[in-house]
Amino acid sequence: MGIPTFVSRGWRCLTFAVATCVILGAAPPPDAPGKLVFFDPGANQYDLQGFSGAFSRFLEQVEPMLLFQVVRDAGVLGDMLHDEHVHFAMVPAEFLHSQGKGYNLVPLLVPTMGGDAYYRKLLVDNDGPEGRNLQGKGIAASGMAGKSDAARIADELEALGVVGARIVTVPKDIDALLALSFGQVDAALVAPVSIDVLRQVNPQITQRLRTLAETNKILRSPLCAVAGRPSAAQTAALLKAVNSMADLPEGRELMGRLAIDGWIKAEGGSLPR
Amino acid sequence: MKVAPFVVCMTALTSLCQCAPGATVQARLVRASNAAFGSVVVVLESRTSASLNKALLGAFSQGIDARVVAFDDIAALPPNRLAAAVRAEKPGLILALGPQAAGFTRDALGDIPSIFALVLNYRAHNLAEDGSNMVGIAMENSLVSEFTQFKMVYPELRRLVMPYCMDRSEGMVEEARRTLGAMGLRLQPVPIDPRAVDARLGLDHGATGDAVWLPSDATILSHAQAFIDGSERAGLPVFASVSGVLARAGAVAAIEVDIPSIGSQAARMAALLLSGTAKPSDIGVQAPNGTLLVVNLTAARRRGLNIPLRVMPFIGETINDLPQPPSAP
Repeated sequence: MGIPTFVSRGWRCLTFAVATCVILGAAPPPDAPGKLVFFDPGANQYDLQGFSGAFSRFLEQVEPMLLFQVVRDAGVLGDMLHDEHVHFAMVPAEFLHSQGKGYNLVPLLVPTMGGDAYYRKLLVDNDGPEGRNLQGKGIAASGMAGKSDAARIADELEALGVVGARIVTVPKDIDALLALSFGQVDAALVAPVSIDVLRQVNPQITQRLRTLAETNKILRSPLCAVAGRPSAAQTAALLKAVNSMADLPEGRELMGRLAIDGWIKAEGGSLPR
Repeated sequence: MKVAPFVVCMTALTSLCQCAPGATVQARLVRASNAAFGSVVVVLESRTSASLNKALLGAFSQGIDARVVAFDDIAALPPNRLAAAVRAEKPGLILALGPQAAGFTRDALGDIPSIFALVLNYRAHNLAEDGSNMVGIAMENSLVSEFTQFKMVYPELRRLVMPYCMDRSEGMVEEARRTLGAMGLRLQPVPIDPRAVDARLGLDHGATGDAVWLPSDATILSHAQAFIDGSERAGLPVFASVSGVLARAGAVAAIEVDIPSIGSQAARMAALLLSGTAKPSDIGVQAPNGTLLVVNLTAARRRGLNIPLRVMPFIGETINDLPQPPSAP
């Protein structure tokens, strides 16, 4: 009795698929498209799929073809940067400073808002007593619920001299400000632009806000090339597209998602001061 | 995507309603965190909200310095045995997840401070009444939060049409009117007779406004798709409470509760109660402080709405009929 046709066909398909995977895994074709990877734990982590779609649509204009991929974890980013198909990366300046050389990352462009490549976060409360100690108090900040974001926020607070606060992670700054307004937390760590957005829509919520401290300036995540990987033509095509991002609807949407309105050159690979 | 009657409640609010009896799994200790902490928090889980429990507890456990002892499927044990098992742990606090667990805690363990969460319409369950040891986190967002976010998405919003169920949601109408009034907006309530909902679905009875709001009203939500379609015919964008499913079904925006944020919020409340910094009466029942704003960009385009670019970073999920890549790793 022979093997039933559908089983035989199934085995052939499986064998072919395994062989294909082995071949692809062992030696990726040299003409496979390059990739631009994005990693920014400070960015909105909730709509990464929508963000990915917007970035991919934007990159469709770039020739040679460039794929886009978001990574959520620094470890995964490190692994990916070993992949020779990763030609470009948008990473936090902190990562660039600490590990950029090891991965041959060369900054090309830095995003800006109102011409400023940097931003600060504000620690605000609602008109509480002067000189209050926030140890043990609730501070709301945006991030994914989990240890890594809580640790990141704790580091940001520690730099402001706030230690031992209870961090309440919420999806976005607006939630943090609303929680503060409802008295559910004692303070909130947010970007100034979030206060501006809220002030325009519902000024009652922001009228009692008081800034307790502001973080050191934070450089927006630069767009970098992995030295030696992209061709000059590909780098030029990407730079041209990014520099004209605001001219296209999909580019403007992407800039909105990145909370930026422009880019500046990282002259000679050095970051703006 | 079309949304069928009751789908809203059954998806976003996964099984938060009272569960059917007859659970087969024994209530048991399912996890206990580091015993080095002095305080003990017992978590009682209704089986009906299992997937939500997990998301909530992950955030709760990370935010609390206490030994956390969790019992799943509380229906599997006779109430007296379960109460004895809980008391044996000498908890300083109980976290009750789902209506079943919350009701049991209120009835059998009312002398121990407790927090309830994942209970839809907590008032109907008589939880956290005056003088009780119970505090909680509602599943309904505050209207301030919802209207603020709707206005972020649609800054031109001036007058909101609100279909509501007569006899049941008058209180919400007044609260909505007050909240919108404080923001300089107006409400146009449209009473819907629950016995003749179909007759009013098209909003063709003279309702005028810039947009339609579908509130957290069971009758309205059970006809959500018809309201969305009717509003579309009337050329009005729809904004919805309760569930992102409604945005996927054609509303321009919807707001849902972020479950892990409730865990973080509950941890904060637990810390206050365990440390004695606050009494239950100081805390009461809070609105959830984490919300997900789901925006349907396709529906917005269809209605001619331009979502302000500066709002984009605050959107928790965008619906777009343009091709999307596979999920990020």
